[in-house]
Amino acid sequence: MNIEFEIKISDLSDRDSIIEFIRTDWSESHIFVKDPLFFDYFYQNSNRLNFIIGKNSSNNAIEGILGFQLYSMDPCEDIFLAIWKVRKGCKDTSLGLKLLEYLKKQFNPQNLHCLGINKKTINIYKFLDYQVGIMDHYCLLNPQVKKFQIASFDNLPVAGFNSQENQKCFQFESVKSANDIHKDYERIDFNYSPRKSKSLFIKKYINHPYYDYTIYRVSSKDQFIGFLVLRKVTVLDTSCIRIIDFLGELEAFPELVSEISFSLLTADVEYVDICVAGLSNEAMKDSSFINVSEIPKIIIPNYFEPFEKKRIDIYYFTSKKERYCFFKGDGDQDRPSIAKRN
Amino acid sequence: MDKQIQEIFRDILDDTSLVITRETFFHEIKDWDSVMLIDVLIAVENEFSIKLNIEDAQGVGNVSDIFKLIESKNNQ
Repeated sequence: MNIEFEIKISDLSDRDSIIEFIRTDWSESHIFVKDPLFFDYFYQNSNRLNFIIGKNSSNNAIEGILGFQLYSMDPCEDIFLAIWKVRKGCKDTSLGLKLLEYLKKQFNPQNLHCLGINKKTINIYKFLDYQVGIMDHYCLLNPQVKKFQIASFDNLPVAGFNSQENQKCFQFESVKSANDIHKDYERIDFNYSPRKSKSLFIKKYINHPYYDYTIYRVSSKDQFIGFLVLRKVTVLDTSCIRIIDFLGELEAFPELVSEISFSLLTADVEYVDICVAGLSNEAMKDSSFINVSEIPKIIIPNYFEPFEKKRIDIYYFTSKKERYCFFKGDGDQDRPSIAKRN
Repeated sequence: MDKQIQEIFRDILDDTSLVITRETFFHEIKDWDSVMLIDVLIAVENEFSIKLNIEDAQGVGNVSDIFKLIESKNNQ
């Protein structure tokens, strides 16, 4: 066997071949197949695509892809992996690893991460000496709701309601445009990974083609604390609010997220939830949120496109050993799965 | 050693009748994928008390390569 593969960063001319690979080797109903313009939004980076591809030199066919998100450049601190797939029956059974090595050599990232890894691939990441875990899932249920349709549980857990409800320690100003973040973004206290560039933040949360994110500039006693990102999800004629991201003083997060969440629990909101990795359970004890994993029989869904009323663990890996904090908005976890345009 | 390797493959592929030889290429094995490759390498690490890395994983394409890997690690 002497099959040669050309491994390279893809350019714009590879776009249709990558989408076709996703259609034939991943899913023909994948949003990138149904909505190529969304693929462009997600992966185009100037005159290249954020994909490493492996092409069989004998027929020029793509046999492996590795999609990624660069969080910053110069230096490249964090890269999140996304779609990683090698064609079934590929004669180079280590092509996937070669794609990853190529990515590392090209960008020399300090840290590699991925949210939403398949449970059966965990051994690959352990072999690579990466840390693997399950994202923590916290929620704050609305006690005013009479009939829950998205969430389900045996008894309503009400931890922390009385102690935190009336505290007002933070100010939350709505961010309407990119102009509202420029000044403060440079002041964000990034003493943990990932460091998300301002341009990526704007692309993900302000210029997203489909999702409307609500962004708050958080301060306390006129001191800037950070930016909080959330998204209201409506399904079954009711809704929930998902905390999508937080960039700022992580130590303040449990308290500030409690404070804002109480005001968000209006009549049509069943709960506020947070998916996070790297924030200790101990730290979240200062919040009013409950850890879903500690409540038997509670279901706080994680997937809404299509809506799946079940408890789903989100596995992740990271090459970082400590001082990281990932939220639902990191990587491609908060990407739509159903095409919104034809 | 052949028997030990055979057992590793049978165990990971969950097929007690699987027959592999030193000439077997991984891609010839039904439903083979990169996850299985890593599972085999981890089992080889445990069975033969050696430590493998990503460069080792990229260099194997058939069963014979695994034998060579074990021998080279034992000679280090």
